[in-house]
Amino acid sequence: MDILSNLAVGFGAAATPLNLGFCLIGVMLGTAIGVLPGIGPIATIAMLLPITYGAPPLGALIMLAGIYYGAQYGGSTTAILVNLPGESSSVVTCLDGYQMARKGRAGAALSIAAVGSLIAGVAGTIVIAGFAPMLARVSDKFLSPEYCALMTFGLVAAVVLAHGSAIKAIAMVFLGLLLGIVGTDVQSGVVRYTFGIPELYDGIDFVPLAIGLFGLSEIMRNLDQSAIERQVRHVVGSLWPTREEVRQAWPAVLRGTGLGTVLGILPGGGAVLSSFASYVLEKRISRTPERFGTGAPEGVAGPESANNAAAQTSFIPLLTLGIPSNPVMALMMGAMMIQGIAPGTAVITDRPELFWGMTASMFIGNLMLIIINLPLIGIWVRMLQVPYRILFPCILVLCCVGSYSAQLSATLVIMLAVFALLGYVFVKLGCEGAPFILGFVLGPLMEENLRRSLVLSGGNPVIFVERPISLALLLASLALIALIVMPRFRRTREQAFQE
Amino acid sequence: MLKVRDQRDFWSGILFMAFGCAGLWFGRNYAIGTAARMGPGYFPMMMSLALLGIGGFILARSLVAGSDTIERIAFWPQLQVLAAILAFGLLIERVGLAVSVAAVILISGFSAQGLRWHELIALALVMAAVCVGLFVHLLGQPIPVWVR
Repeated sequence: MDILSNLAVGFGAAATPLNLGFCLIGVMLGTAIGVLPGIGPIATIAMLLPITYGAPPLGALIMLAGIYYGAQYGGSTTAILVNLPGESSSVVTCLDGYQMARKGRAGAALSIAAVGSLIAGVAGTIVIAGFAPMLARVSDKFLSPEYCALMTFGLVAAVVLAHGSAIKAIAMVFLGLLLGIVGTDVQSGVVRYTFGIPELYDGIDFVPLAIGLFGLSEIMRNLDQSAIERQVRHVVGSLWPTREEVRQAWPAVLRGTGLGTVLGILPGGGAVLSSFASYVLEKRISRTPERFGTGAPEGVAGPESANNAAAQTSFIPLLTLGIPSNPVMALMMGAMMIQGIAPGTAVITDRPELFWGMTASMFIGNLMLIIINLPLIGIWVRMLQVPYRILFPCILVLCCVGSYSAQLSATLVIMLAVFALLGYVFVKLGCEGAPFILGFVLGPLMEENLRRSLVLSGGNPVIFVERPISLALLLASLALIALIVMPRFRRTREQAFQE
Repeated sequence: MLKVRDQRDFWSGILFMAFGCAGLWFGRNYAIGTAARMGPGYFPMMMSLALLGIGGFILARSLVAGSDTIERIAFWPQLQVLAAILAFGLLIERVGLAVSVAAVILISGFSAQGLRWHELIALALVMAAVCVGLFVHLLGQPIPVWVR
């Protein structure tokens, strides 16, 4: 009954009027920005990071988590209503969600997505509550070599799951690691790659980097495309699914939840992988696979539940090991460090109110999402109709002010311009930002743990294969690499990303 | 004469190699040390060499395989976005938030398709007011509103 008393602590911390307010603001803002086409959770979180500075640590984390699933929900809304995925995890939702909308069942598709997400979110929260402390105990056995191996595994997984060219993704990881160590070297005190700019002494600031690479580069990419047509032509219709739709959807919700929960915990896993996997699973086991792609409720219910469950459980590696498993978690880690919290085992033991409060707030946030957002769907639809030419200067302003307020320094705004340009070049060259940001966040940790491991072993790399946990992680990484090299898997991977 | 078959890979390769070279060049004075006692230059050197190697591979491959071309680039709008950000950076500490925000809107929205000039000015005024209200008054961030 440990979990129950811990959760009680969490709900006590999260249910104060102030924190409920933060949760509400996060969920609303996340949905509002996430609804904008082409702007997924990563860009949304990056742009809204500055809003959380003023809040106390727990409030800021609650707001950020709210922004995250708000943004995800917003992404599904655009997928269903205008067939434009906010980000890759809602690509699958377009397939059947938009078809349901064309049949006049948009309202039902939105409700199914929302209720599925809620169920999955609750399940994910329970898994975090039960599983995280266990994993935290295991991680007590972790020394530098294990951390190195774990990070390697996470980075390899990020490469395998990146879209497009795997070799470019590997290069992006290395580039991220290199830029991650800019600043003062903790061990020797040597200041590296700062070019005498004081703002770089503590490393490249996370805020302009994330906003530039994930927010602005998206906006700039949109500017290259001729006016995007995104009119909502279909009536939302009744929010209530029919009995038949419920019958088809609920087993898919449960399967999606289970699948997403498991895949979310894996490094490199998370929302994208699980929504794809869930769609494939639903289609495979369906007695009528031909209905998929023409508006099958299972095709919405499964992936939407799976990506929300995974979104939830992907917090586990971050909160227990201090290792982000995907780019969104890398942003979360950056946000935690801005708040002065070092993610990792210490969070659970030293600041239980923070860990359990955040876990409890995920539950509350998911509930808020459904209570608030379904009736508000009309507002989101109207937001979708605001022309892009008005939206984009406003988004640009938010990005500038956000970067400036990170350190109240105009240099950061100049850095924002540099990273916007770099991000845009990456987009044009087909280089993925996700492996880069993971490498960037892990850079200093990787260097430190590599150094420590080799000090332990006197410079002998055998230390990484002598220790069982480290060996297992490295073998798993090798297996993943073997997978991408194998032609059969490569074809499936390309196929999966093409849909 | 070699022909570039894959433009995107070609330029990616160049980009990665450029970062690798920059990493090696600007890091040339950092002590490298040994594997057992790594100096501040060890890790950056490894990363830079990896970038050089992979970049070289991608570059070489782009000459023999692939067919990707770089998609259309809308040159002026992109320049406007970057100019707007730079303008904000240069103005914020000289003239304050209100004018800087208006400048971003005017520069980025200037000659945007279907946006009339009076709409643009109205948008600039509204956003300046919203930003001052939101960031300075509501969130209490110490950003200068007006600087003379």
